[in-house]
Amino acid sequence: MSNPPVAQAAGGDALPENPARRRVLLSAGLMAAAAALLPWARMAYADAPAQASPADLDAFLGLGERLTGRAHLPPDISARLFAALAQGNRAFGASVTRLVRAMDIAGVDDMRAFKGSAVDRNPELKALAVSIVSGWYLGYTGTPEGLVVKDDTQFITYTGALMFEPTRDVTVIPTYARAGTDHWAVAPASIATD
Amino acid sequence: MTTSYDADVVVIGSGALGSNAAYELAKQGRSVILLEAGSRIPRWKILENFRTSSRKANFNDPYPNEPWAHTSYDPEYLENTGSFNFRPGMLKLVGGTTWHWAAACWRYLPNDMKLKTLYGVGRDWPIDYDTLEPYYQRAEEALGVAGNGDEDQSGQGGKAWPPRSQPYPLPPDATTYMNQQLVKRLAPEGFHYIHEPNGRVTRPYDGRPACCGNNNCMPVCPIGAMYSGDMHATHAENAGAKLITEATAYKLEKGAGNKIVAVHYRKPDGSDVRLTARYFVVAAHGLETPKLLLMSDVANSSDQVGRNLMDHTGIGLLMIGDEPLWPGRGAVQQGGIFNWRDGDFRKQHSAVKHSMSNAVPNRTITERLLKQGVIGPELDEGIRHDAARWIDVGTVFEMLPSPTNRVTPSDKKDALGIPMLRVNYDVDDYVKAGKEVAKKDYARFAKIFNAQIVEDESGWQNRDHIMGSVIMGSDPKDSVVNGDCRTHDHDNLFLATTGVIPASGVINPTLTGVALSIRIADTINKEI
Repeated sequence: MSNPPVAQAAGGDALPENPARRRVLLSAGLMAAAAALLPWARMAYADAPAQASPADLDAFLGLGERLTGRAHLPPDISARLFAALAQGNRAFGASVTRLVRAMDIAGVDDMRAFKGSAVDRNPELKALAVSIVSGWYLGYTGTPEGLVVKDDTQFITYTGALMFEPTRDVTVIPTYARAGTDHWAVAPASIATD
Repeated sequence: MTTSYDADVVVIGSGALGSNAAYELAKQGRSVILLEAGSRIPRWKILENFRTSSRKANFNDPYPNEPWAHTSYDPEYLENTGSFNFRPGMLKLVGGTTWHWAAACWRYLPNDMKLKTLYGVGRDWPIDYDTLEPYYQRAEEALGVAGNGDEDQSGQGGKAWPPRSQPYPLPPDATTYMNQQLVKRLAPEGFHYIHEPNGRVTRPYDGRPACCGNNNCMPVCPIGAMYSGDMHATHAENAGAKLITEATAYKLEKGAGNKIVAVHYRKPDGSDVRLTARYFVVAAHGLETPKLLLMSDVANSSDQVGRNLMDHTGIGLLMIGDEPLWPGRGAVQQGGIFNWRDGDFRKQHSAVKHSMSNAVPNRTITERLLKQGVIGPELDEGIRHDAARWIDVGTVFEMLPSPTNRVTPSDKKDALGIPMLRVNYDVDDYVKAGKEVAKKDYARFAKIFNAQIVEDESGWQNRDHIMGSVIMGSDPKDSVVNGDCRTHDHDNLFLATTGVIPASGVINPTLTGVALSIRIADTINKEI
């Protein structure tokens, strides 16, 4: 059931005190998280992932929780999503900061207040919000293309993809099972209220 | 003087068809060598590849695509020159492409096999249903088919049809709640919803556990309840067959009396091996088989090798209905509407089959909502609302054989120096006329379910049912193999591929391919 192991990029007891050293380690962790997908050696400097500070990562995790309406999201998945979205965009950390600030100013503490807010009406901020929510819900970034061997997608998580949560009591995350043979013949318990 | 051979029979291709033929031959004590271009990959590895893939709708993605064993989604490997991007999901590994299928195991109808005689279009099969029936039964037992033998599978609401000598090996899976509701609403409108016989076992069978609805038949069944060709590759090995992986056949060698005397294969390191045998069975997929024949200049006195390529090229309908049906509980598909499977209309337009998908629709639904900019609580609410009401109809049509729909070796070479594939494929008028009928059905479905249409202009879609490319017939002048799947030109060369199918009907061809392959083994067993 677990996701593939990645370097722990969020704070923890094992991390040293020295902030400069800590930053280097965090970057290495992010690199490791995405290394499976990218031949770093061949990448131009401008395309290398942004150096994420602990503050960047904390802010991004908080923003993810706020945008998805979830109280707790896994920091390792958040770090992986940050790395994927920041790829080729060294200003990504700054964009995240702008979005957080705009939401604060607009008073969008709860997503029920998002629709019609100043943030919703700003195409650039809205697009960024949607791209972050997309990563959390779909478990990948980029745009999948059919009938090809490569596209610009990156894997983030499978079982952690939030799109499965709203239907968790009825259907399965494909490849997993919920009950024995033929359980599907009976109406879901929620049918009267669905 | 006695000749010595490397084997009694060499079978090229370890998919469902080749492996079943190899098993039936080895079981009778024949020495069999089974060649496979790809590698042997365990199920758990494919499963992990799927779970960590960012392309979950891409059914080839969890499988290897090697420079010496390309899959079909490699645009380099399969070049299209026609109006349609003909690109079936072909795999190269032990077990072949039945690793990712939905395991639909229909039999053809007697009338499907007399298309020309009854309806004046296409071609007749050179053999009839009664000849094939015992082999259908054996194929169903080999694959562990669960089915309902009491329904009229011709879709006319009549008696049980086609005729069966024995019941299905396994009872059908229970009807999903969704399908119970669908039937309630479709039946009064005259639509005959038929249970789909399938290769997913409903109780432990042949070392396989019963299906419990992991809902991932495509691209990989995580538990092996669904049949895949590797099961018979293993059975063949246990019966004494020798399986050689990473071995791409590139030449069939002709000898005296128009016999095939050897097959040449190449390993990824570039080394070449020549194998001799009394008989050769090419079971190398509906595109690769004709390619091998054309490269070897064998079996083509009719000039039909690679021609008459057919798929059940289809269209799709997506809609959101007015009541919670909850697709996604059980296997990925369970049945369909067969009203247009057979009748006099086949003189004018193709037969039509509609299937209702039962795949968990969350990804498609979520992608759509996000594209509309829906985030926040409305996103969770929308996912649940739409997932409960999602109706995904996949439609297929019967293509007719046409000499210009064709697969040939390409000018490009793979890492082994072997030509890649080139396909030229256009959809015919017979299918286009069928589409008009299907669209009228779509309008009726939308009305019956008071549905909001999500997509009803999908354009032509691949259905991955490859037929016709080494077409079967009684006349050596216009066909490649006879009714026994023996090539007209070479007595000891048989083709075990759905590519032999001369009239495609609207049903998934794999079960028929396996039945024909078992019959090939019987023929060879009698002659050796």
